Amino acid sequence: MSALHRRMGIWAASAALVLAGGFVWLATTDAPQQIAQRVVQSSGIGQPFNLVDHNGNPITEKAFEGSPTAVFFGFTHCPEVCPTTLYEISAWLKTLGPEGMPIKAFFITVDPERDTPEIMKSYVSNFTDRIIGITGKPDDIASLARSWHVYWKKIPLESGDYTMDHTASVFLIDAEGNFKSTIAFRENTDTAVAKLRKLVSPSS
Amino acid sequence: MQMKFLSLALFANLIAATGAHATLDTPQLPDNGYSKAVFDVSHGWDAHKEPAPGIMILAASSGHGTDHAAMNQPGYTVGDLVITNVRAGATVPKAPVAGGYMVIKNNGSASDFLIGGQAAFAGDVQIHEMKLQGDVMKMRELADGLEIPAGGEVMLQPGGYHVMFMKLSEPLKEGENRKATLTFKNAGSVEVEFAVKSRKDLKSHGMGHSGHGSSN
Repeated sequence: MSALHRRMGIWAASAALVLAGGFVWLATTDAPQQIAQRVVQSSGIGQPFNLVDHNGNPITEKAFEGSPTAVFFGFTHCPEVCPTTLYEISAWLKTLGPEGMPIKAFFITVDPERDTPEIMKSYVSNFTDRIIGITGKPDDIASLARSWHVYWKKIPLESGDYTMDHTASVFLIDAEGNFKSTIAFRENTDTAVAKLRKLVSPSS
Repeated sequence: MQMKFLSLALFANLIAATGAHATLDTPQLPDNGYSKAVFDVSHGWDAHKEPAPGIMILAASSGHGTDHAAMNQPGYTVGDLVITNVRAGATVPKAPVAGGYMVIKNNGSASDFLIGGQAAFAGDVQIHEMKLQGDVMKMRELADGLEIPAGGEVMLQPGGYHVMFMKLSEPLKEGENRKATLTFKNAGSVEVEFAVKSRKDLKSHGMGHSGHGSSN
């Protein structure tokens, strides 16, 4: 690890702190309405979108409104992180039981060229009926992912196929549309469940 | 176990050190022209120099009972290589890919390389390395194969090196045993059976937390 990289890491950490500060500020000053707009426009995270859910129906940022929401970016040609995360989200929701019912969960593909609504549905529905898959036009997906500061990149394979690098964290948004926190890949189950519980009942 | 904890601590340090800068790189979706060498675009990660986090390369003389020791599964021998704990992750129907894992020990005096394989249930079999860099999951094909150093042992496990079964013709179901051929640069090919495990079992075996391996 070069000194330059280490410095970049510190830079990034500082930037993340500033961002986090911004969220706190937003959470305490905004009117509790028009969530998507708030998360999106004021803080620079997320933005309005027009995509397609795994049933082939149009879906917009309104789907993230009114309920605590968990969002994960991935793709179906993903050997481990995506199936593990979908499996874990299902398990967390199961653990929460009735308490977790208000939580909406979305799996947004960063590989819309291969992940059609049909493929998303057959894939996601094998894990749980609590997660809705989202796909759409590549440009629209790119724009949304960028707005969430999600990293993704297409990586060619020798066979002519490709795989995707992508941010592996689950984003948590509260019922008012405030970005609250993330659940990292391989985060301890108890911590993950506690974060979701807090998302549903902030005062508990 | 001590070695495991040491390795986990190293893992944490590596994550901390390589850290967050990857997440703030400008996201991009190259529309074409991405046929350049894979490692050119890896943001400083050189798979050949820096082992993936969570991967242990144990010296053969360590004397520790490793996790695979307790698997009720025979090992496979090809040339100087001994392959144990051969397992694959169960997949949901329509999943296009699956991961295969194992432990490969090299009793010889020269390195060998796992370069590929064949399976009736997969259109393509490749050797990949996965790595979590900051919160970004990155996967790379090991075009030159995975080195099994002389006298060393390499674990293919969730979160690190794996055999990537692509273009699955059918799902892998928990409890099944699936035949496949592994090909090594020097030792040649060997047919093995992958025990298909649930995600949970795969994880606990792979991470060495479950105590499954402590029967010796």
